[in-house]
Amino acid sequence: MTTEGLAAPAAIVRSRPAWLDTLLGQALALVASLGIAVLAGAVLIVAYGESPVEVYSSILEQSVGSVDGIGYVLAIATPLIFSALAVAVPFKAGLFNIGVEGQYIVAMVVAAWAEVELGFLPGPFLIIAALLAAMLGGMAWAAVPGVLKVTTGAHEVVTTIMMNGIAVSLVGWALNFPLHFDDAPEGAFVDLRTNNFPEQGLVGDLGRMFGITQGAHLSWLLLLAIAASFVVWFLFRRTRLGYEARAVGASPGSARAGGASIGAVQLKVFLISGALAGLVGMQQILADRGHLPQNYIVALGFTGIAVAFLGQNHPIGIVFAAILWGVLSRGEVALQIGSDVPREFVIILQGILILSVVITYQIARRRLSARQLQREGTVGELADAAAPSDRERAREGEDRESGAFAPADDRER
Amino acid sequence: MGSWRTRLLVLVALLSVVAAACGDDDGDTGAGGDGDGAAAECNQDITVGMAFDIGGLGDRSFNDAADAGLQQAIEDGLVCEENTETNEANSTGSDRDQNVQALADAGFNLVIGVGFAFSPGINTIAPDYPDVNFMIVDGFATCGTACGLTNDAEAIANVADFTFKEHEGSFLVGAAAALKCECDTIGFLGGQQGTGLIERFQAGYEAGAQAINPDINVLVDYIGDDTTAFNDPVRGEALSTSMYDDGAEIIYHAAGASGAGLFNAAVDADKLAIGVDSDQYLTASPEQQPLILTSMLKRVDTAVYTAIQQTGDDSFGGSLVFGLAEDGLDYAKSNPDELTSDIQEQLDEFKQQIIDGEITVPDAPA
Repeated sequence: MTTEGLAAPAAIVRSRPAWLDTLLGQALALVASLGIAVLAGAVLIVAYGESPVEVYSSILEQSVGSVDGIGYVLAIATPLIFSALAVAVPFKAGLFNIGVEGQYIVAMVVAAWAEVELGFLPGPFLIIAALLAAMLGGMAWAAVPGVLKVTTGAHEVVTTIMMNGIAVSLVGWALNFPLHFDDAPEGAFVDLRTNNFPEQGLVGDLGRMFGITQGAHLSWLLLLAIAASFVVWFLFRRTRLGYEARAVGASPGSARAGGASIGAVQLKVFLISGALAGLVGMQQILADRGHLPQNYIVALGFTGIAVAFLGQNHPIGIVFAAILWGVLSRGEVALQIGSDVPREFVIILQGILILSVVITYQIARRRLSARQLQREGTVGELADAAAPSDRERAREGEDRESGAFAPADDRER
Repeated sequence: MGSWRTRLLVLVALLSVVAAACGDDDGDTGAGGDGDGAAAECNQDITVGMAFDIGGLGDRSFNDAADAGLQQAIEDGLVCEENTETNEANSTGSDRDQNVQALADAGFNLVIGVGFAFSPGINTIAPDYPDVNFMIVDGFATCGTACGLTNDAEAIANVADFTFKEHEGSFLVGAAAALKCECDTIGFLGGQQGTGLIERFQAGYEAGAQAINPDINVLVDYIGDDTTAFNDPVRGEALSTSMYDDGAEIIYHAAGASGAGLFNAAVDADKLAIGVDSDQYLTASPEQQPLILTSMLKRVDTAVYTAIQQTGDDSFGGSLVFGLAEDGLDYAKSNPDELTSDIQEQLDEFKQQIIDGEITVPDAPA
């Protein structure tokens, strides 16, 4: 795609390049949806007889108003990036993994087992072993619905939900028997949990060097999460599997005709999703608690679905969506002190935000398509020789953003 | 150029202006409304923040009992109402520790964590807030590194765990059951098995019943081995029904919200049941009420009240264990038709003997 110069000069003068158009359109859609959510929230706040400015500023104060707040926001975002990626990857291939919840719970058990049993390993190796164990655990739990989907056609939404229930019971069993905390002093009542993980097996605190409170437990896992989102981006933009997955997602029939094995692609995508899901629980057991407690944080997998939608299933968009989610979550903490607005307000706000993001993105997408077509027409008039390739490029750009099946020249990269 | 963008921009800009305008109005009235309430006779020197776990206020049990302690303290002028604040963890439990830290950051003199789950979080952050008193109901924060926590007790002198001798209270209701039914079989429905906590209720109950009738047979069933066991009334009802079918005349539960199942089963079997933590007669339905013999009262309100009192007179420090002697436990007397005065007399006698040390109640099942 180095034929940029072929386009007629007049067209370049009159319009921005397609990618900039797309970027601007999406940025505007995001700002608009934020605006809609903030405004609808303001109406609710006024209905409660409080000041929107005060409420919103207390939310911002608690989230980004201090280094501690930022630390908390990023620590909240860390697991959500993983879980949203785990949802987005199969979504691109037309699959809906609702089982991230169960996959990360199982992964926590497997990682806890690795931490407890492999305590003789030196620091970095133990952490890597635990992370690998978690990814394998998540993959194993995702493999069951994946294989069922490919071999029997059992719908992944149903099977993954069922696997979630089994996962919850599995933790209860593991904590009572194989991983039971046996170092507790006689007579002390301690909650049900695993033994403490060895000191060298815990992921280091990232926040301390920025003066962030230890209570936030901001860890290096944040960087791993951001790296994972780039890996996912690379997977879908630059690899054969990613290309095939998008093709299967857009049109299984065409993909099969194009030579892709649908079953193999679906299974691979599910396994990658499971591996990402496996890392969701690592923030709480390797950075926050240092053991697997029975009252572990739940629903991170389900929240990941919301975050993935908010980020429009784009790996980089997901990182920002997770951070935005963290800001709103901190808002819940803020609202409970010195405000009559109930904490559920934040949940409503999150819901409105997702709705408005979906709507505004759809509008932006349509507008962009219309513009592309329009420009195509102009270019065609001015330079008919260049028009065919230009038309193809324009369509590719637009299809790529909607995650649809891209034409053949994409494969050459 | 895309006129829709311009329109959208204008719209957003307009909306934000409207939002800002609304906000300004409200801000003014809010600032003006802070003047009242200063006339009340209460201790202005302390502020109290209380953090609830998942479930929060309105559970008609543990959390509401803690709130009752706070309200009593406000009524008695130990703290002014405007100087108190409560918050609760969201349903996923992800902001449990954040809520505590937010209260500490806001400068409350006393921060109360209602429930053992606050122990690890408070243990970690307490050294950062040396001027804040932390009290945890049912906590184990001062157990320190031995219990797998970050800091040892010496490093967190500002933290106190307030716990209860549940076995002493359970002894009384066990004796009540044996006295009432004059039978040879009673039942115990436990919530989560394996942590040693609910086993304490079981041990006291069995000992109390055996003090009346050494040969009594106590059927024991636990709902499960994780926290969901405390929120499974369906299974609670099934297990209770089967114990009633097996001949249990009275069943005592220590199973949190699952206990609702016991009361349903009691109605079906037309047999008696015993509640736990708070006086469950008061919150039961009309057809259940006559069947609730009594309840083992865990005075969480006393613990909260005590912590506030201690903070007020600067005597806060160190964990406390509330037994019968400290008014930390009791039995409910709301159903005198069933729990007759002669039974109450005998229970009060046992109570005195336990307080005097003449009876030692075991805290683990034999």
